[in-house]
Formats: sequence, structure tokens, C-alpha cells
Amino acid sequence: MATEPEHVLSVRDLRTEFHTENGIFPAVRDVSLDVYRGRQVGIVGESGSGKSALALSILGLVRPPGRIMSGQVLLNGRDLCLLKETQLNSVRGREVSLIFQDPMTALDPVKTIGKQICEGILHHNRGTSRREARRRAIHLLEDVEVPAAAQRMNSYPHEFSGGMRQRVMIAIAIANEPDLIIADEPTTALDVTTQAQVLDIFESLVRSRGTAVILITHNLGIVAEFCDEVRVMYAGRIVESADTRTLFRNPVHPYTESLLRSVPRPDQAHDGKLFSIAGLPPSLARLPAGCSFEPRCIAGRGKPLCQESRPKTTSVGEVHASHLAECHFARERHEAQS
Amino acid sequence: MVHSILSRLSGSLAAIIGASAIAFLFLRVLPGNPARLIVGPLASEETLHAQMERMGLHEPIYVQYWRYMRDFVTGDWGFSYGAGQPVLVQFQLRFPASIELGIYAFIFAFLAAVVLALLATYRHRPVMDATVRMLSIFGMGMPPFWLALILLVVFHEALGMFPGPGAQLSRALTPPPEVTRLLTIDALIAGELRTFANAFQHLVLPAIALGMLPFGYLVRLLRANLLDVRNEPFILVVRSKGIGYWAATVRHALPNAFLPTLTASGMIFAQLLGGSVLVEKVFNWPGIGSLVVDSILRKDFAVVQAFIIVSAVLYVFINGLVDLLYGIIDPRVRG
Repeated sequence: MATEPEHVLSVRDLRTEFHTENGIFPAVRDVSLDVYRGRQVGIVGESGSGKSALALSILGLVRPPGRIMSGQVLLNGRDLCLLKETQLNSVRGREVSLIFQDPMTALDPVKTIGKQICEGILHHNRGTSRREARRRAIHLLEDVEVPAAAQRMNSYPHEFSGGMRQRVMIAIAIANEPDLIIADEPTTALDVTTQAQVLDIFESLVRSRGTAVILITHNLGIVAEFCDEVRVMYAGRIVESADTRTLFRNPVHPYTESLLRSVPRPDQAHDGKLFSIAGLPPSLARLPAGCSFEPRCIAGRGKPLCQESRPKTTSVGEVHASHLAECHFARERHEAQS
Repeated sequence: MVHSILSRLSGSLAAIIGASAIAFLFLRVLPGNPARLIVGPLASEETLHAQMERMGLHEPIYVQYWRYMRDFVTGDWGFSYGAGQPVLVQFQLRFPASIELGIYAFIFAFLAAVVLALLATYRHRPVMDATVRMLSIFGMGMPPFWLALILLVVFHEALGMFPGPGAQLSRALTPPPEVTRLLTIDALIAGELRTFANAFQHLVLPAIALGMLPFGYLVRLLRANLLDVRNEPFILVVRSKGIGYWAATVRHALPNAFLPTLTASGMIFAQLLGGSVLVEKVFNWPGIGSLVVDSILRKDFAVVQAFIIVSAVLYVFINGLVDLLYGIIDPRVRG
């Protein structure tokens, strides 16, 4: 068993539903997900595919009317769903932390940057003096390459640019050296050059500390660059999971294939028109009886099998269940590729 | 910085002058001759004219205004013929009672609004939320004088928990030496705790009656702001650090929710300090509100005019205070 990598996070059959006046929306539908120590896992999918709901479910921060209905979230072997709120408060920020998508609204506008970094440090390290926390906070700001860190401690969020704020967010997230960081679209709101800088800083920090990361994004370029593994989410399910190289080379699920084909690739010839996926994702309140991707599928649209029954997760990988896809034609499609 | 202070000060001055000018003009234009009221209906035309001469009523209105303002800033607020006293003396006698009542009414309204808004937005509890919303509507819709009567009937007559109307202090107690002229504060300064407690008891019912309406308004505002702020991503980020619900609410949500209510609070506070006619009447409170109404009925110009100017100064002053507070609470305003 020594060769088996160690789990940081193991999500089992997690189901999160939003009970609203307009019906029940299962944003996360019986999802299982494994993250190993020090590995970077990307979760990609369209808006509304349940990526953020999954992230908040892992942290136990789904807000009403949302609720975790069933399943387990095992973090370092402990099921977070069974913990009391006070116990969760000692896990959040110390074992798992969050980087939020919009740096403009993710910091309290009326508190200094320094206070907001120190808050997490002081919370998880009883007996730490304010001065010591401050010293550590300055170090963290230096780690994320905020210039003149000591002076910037007393600045307010509005005095920072978007990229600088996202660096502060990263500093807050790594403050207590968590085992897992969930980064929900960490660079979406930034321009491309800032995006690259922030991502570089983030990557070197988590690699050097051996921190596992769940990177939620719809940017496949970032996934290719940053992640070891990828999960593709569609309508609340993980429809394909593989290591990054395999997924980009041999996408099995038609949805993944469509996603990859809708990204412009300078290295490949085009006839001028970019591929796009027809239609819209289904409403979670009224999911089709069969495969949820069937109405938009390049492979199975109109096929009775796809319309009538939900596909099972199929392993297509050579090595132990490393490449999974939720498609009736997973095997055929995989064989056709190789 | 200097420029912004100067422009603000000149704006304040303009507001005060404008309010005083309009008040002056309206009161002169209204029918009825104040000199006639003083000399009585049976006095001859000659006596009337002599009185008008003495009061300067025959002069052009801008001269009257100029003279009035000149005297006002030097502390001569005119003479109240109705009361037979200088206006300034009347104000010194009646204003402190209104200010004290206003302060306590505001404290009640503000504290109750904060507590109930926090309860209403705590987790997802529709019953509590609906109750608070009902209280808010109740507070805003209830006529204060009627609430005052109900409070008196229940807590004074039936339960005997609080003293009745007609006094700020029980007769058995001697008032503390005058420092601020606010009874509770003066009692504390003199170290007379029993006097403080007694004065406070006298304040409870009128303060609640007066504070109910602003409470209803503030709790509504705060509740909505808290719900908005709670949906801000930064609250989620705070929670993801491991900070508990209440700590996150008190440390982060509440200060942000206060910001939009600050201006309204300032306005409410200024209004409460200016006294309330109906509540003062019901509790027989020796405040400025009832004095002003009596003076209006008597056409006692000097009192009404002074009141309007003092109110304008009060509003301007408290608005300035609010601006200052914004600078302290909201770093984005400091600039």
C-alpha cells in the first residue's frame, strides 16, 4: 500500500440541493471526487454546472435554501458533514481554505488588509500575539510578492488593484498552511497578464508547500497549464475525469470533446469558424430522463438509449480507474480514438 | 482637504441662512398682527402703531430680517410676549428636557433596531423574520400619541412599573446641580445614582413612545442591509477562514450594514432632538415641542423663529457629525 498516494479529500456521493419556491435544484448530484496530497485538480464546466456549489459543499458553507442532502466529505479521513459548526470552524482555514472568484468583493471594504490576514492566523493559533500575527502576515504578503508589504498592511482593499487583491486572497488562503485550497475561478476577473502572474505565484507557493488544490474554472488553458488532473462537470455531475494529458489528448465524453473543440487552437488549422455547443444546459429542476447531455450531444442526440436511460460511469483507462467517463458510448469512443 | 471643509462649511451656513430667511418671511406673510395680540383687541390704533413701532414692524422686511439675525447671533433672541420672558431663557428652560428625551428615544430605537435586525437575519428563520417585519410596520404605522397613551395605561396605570406623566423626577428628590441640564447626566456627574435611576424611569415610557417610529424605520433598513451584506462574497471568505457566524456578523457584516443607515440615523437623531409635540403633550413633558406649538397658536413669532433657526443649526451640525463618522467607519470616504 506504500505506493498508494494519500488522500487529502475524498468526496463520496455528495448531493446538494437548493429547495426554492420554483422547485428543487440538485446542483450537485451524487458526486464523488478524490484529491491526493499535493495534487492539483481542475474542475471545468459551464456556468451553472454545479462547480461552485460543489466547492461550497466541501467547505460546509452552502447557504439556505441550499442543503447537503446526502454523501460524505472526507477531509484527512474525517467526514465534515458530521461535524458540528464549531468543529468546522477549526477545520476551515486550517485544513482547507478558499480563494474566491471576484477579488473586488472578496475582501471586507472597511477593514485593513493586515487585519483581514491576521484574523485567520489569530483564529487558528490561540496564544499568538498580535505582533507575531502581524509579522507572519507581512511574510505572507512578501510570499505573494506584494511590494512594500509592511506598509501595505495598513491599506484598505480599495487601495489595491484587482491583481494585488487576489494576491492578498492567496495570502489569506495559505496563512495556516492548509492541506487543500479550493480556488473558485481565482483569475477570471483579472486581465490576461495579471492572470498569468497571479497564477504563477499561486502555483509556486502550492508546489513548494505540497498543498493540494481544487481549481474551479471554465478556462481550459489554465487547466492545461496548472492541473495534474481534470474533472469535467455538467449539470451537477462529473461526466469525465482523467489526468490532464489524457483528457486533452483523448477526450471520451462528447461534452469534453465539444468543450475542447470550442477553444481556439493556434496550432491547428481552422476553416474560420469556431465550434460551439448547440443549445443550453438543462434546467436542474427538470432534468431529462436519460443522459442530461443528450439534447446537445454530438454523438448521441436522438438515440433512444441516450434518451431513455442515464449512462453509468465507465472506466476506459488502462491503469486502475484513472480515466472515467459517464457516457453510453464511452468504450466505443475510446476504442475509436486509439 | 481644506477646500472640502470650506465648501462644506459655507454650504452649512447657506442652509442655516436659507432656513431662517424662509421662516422669517412666512411668519410675516401669515395673516394676523403680532402687535395687535400684544396690545389686545380693545387698544386704539394709536397704541397699536406705537407697539408696531417698538417692534420694528413698520420697517421693510429685509431690514427686520437683518436686525433679527444680528441680534440673534449676539444672544438676543427676542422677547416672548406670550410668556413674558426672553426667548433665550425659555429655550434654556425647555430645550434640555427635549434633548434628553430625544437622546434616549434614539438610543432605544437604534439598539432595538440592531438587536432585532440581527435576530431577523439569523440563519433562515421565517417566523422570527416575519415577527420583526410586523413590529417594523407596527412601529412606523402607529400614531406616537396613541402608543404613548397605551404605554401609560398598561405600564403606569395597570402594572405600576413606571412613573406617570407630569414630571421628569419624583417630587421627593431634589434635582442634581445643573451642569449639562440633562437630568440623568447631571445626576451621574453628581454621583447620585438614585436620582439617575429615578430620572431614567421617568424617561423610559416617553422614550419608547417617541422612538417607536424611528425604530420601525431603522430596523427595516438594517435588516435589508444585513441581508445584502451577508450575500457579499467577503462574508463567505471570512467564514472560510474558520470565523464563526456571529463573529463574522458582528465584525464584518454589521459595520458594512451600518454605512447606508448612517445618514438616515443622523436625520432621525436631529428630528428627535427637536422635540415632539404629541408625545410631550401626553406625558406633560416640559420640552420644546409643546412650547413651540403653544407659541404658534399665540402667534409668538420670536419663539417660533428661534426654534426654526436652532433646528436648522441642529440638522446641519448632526449632518456634519455624520460626515465625520463616515470618514471614520468607511475608509473609502476618507480619500
